Amino acid sequence: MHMVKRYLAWTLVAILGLSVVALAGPTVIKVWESEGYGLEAVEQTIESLVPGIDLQISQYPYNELRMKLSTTLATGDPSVAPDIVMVDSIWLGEFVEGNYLADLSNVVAKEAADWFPAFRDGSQWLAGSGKYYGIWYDTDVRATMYWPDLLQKAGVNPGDLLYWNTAIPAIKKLNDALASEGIGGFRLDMGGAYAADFFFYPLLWSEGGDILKTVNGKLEPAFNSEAGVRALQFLVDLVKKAGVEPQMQCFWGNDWAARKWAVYIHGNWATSESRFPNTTAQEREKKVAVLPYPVSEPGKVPVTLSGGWIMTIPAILQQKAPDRFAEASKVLQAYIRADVMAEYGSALARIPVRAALMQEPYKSKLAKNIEFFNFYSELASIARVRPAIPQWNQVADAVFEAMQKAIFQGVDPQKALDDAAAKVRSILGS
Amino acid sequence: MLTLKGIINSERTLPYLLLAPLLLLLFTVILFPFLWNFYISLFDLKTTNLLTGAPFAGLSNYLKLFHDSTFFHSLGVSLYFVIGSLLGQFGLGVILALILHYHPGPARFFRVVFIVPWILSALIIGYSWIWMYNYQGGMINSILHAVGLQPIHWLNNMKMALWALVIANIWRGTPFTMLFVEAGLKTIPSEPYEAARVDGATSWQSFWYITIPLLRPTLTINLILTTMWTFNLFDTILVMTRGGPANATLTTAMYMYKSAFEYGLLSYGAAIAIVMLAINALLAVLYFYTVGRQK
Repeated sequence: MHMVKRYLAWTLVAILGLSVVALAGPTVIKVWESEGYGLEAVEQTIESLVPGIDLQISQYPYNELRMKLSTTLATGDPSVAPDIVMVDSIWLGEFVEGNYLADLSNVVAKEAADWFPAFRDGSQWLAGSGKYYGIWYDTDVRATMYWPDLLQKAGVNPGDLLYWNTAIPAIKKLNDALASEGIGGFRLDMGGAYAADFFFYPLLWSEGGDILKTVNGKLEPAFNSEAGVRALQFLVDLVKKAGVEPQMQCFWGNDWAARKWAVYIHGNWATSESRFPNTTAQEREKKVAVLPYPVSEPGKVPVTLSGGWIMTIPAILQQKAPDRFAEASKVLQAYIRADVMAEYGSALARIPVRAALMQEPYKSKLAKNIEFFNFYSELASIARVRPAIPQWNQVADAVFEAMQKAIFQGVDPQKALDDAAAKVRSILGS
Repeated sequence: MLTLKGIINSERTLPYLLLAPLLLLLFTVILFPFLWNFYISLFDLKTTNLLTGAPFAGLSNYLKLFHDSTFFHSLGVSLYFVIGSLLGQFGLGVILALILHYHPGPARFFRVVFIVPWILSALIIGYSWIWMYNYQGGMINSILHAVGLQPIHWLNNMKMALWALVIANIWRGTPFTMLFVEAGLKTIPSEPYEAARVDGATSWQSFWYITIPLLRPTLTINLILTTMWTFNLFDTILVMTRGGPANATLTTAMYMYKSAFEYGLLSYGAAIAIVMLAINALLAVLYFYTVGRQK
């Protein structure tokens, strides 16, 4: 009888406990991402992988996300902070220096060994230090993209776009041949500092140059090297010799996809379904074509610039809400499982950042939805990224100013870059 | 005994009581942000030290400004932008106001038409002008082409970009001056004109010796408001050029925005805002003592 009473008591306790849990409901995991990012694509998968959670994903406009995150985390109140947040890779330094992001080395370092070097290092602060403050989730690559039929009509061989000395006359020929149809030969974006991401840094790297270098532990400008001058001179030649009209407004590939331009150097999204609705990857591969960046001479390796988003957890959770931090870590680890990343990449046609996704069974799944998958993935595997220092926006503006002075004002590229370097030196305090 | 009824009925306290809600509102939305902004400008607050705390910097942000060539460049750009915009807005606005005032019949229709640019959002205006300025196929270059002129790189050209913005801003700001001045014209009584006519004054003399002096307070307020708005304007510039090409359209307001929100230098941006406020105040005082003084 005594035993029966004891069992009954324990059963009641268990029922009560379960009821409390049921009443409390699932643990809410707040995720913040930039507008159009798309972690929703794997929301159900994550919720099934981490039972008892309810993902609440909020999207914010690009610039608003940066300021909202800074101001929210600066309150020091974990109740208003998200559990997981996607930060632009170039914000990493600013947010780590601001003490906003948790050290996630214990959470992601093991998995990160599989990441391509640029994205592995770029998830650390300082880059390559071994301390992870997040994990690079996906990426994009930049390349030369063109309409084969338009090149054929103008009598231009696509191979001419691979080298600077042949690209200039080829683009001039395209401009001349297609002007009567209202089609531009080559689109050169000059509407903002992002223009350097597409048109200067990749050429600079291909020439063996760099944006910044470390001298005696201090960062210094390096873009005003001979390599930088050669890269900038090529852009000047595109305008002066090939008759390219720089464009102040960027339509992120929409106008190229609408056949307003024959050739464009842009991100891989310009060939994706978002720009060619209701088409398959295979159909798009038949419509348009892609090439690596042009280089100055055979033997030079064309380098691309990759951007992307880093998945991370606010430091305030680690400091003041360890239970939430533990739960958020579990969710983050679910997000970076190869199968989940493949599902996400496939749904949104995002270029993978890790080697496992280049292998089966994931590769064919991704290649089915991502046009030119092998080409883009290979570019990503050797891509370079911008330095994620807190002063990056100022540095980028200074470099872009040099581009504008050389292209619009006719300032000698060496002088324009030297002036920018002096400015950057003062910004970096070097 | 001091009672609530007594306070309310007191002639001394009642006005303050009635003013209190407005004063509280003004303090909350104007004075406090200003004081807070000034306070911030005395620190080295960046987005990287919001959490860890910003060190006190005293007046160093202001001293840094005086050694910042980009800041002085932006002041020069603002000067051209404000003068160009004011001349256009004011000149056109006054002319349109006079036309509407003396032709009340068609005025009803044209007042509505002319006001359209003023009620549009700055972003829509910016994007519309980008299209109109487009080198290939833009409306303005198409017109130039039609009359046998060469197209112009309106927004790419370092010499043209600022004037392209000025034209867009004149288009946007003229309706305000027009409405403001027209309202001022309606307040002028007819007696001085009748007396002048009896005395044999010409239309020009009536305009110069009656209309302009009686409009002076309206014109002064309009000048002050238009100057401040133009000096502080940044949304249209943000959309159309973002301060480029090569900082050719980097006004002080644009530089403040970039410093604070793109570079994350919050105190430095705050210091620029305080200097802008001082310049605005100085201009207002200057207008009151020159244009606005009563003879």
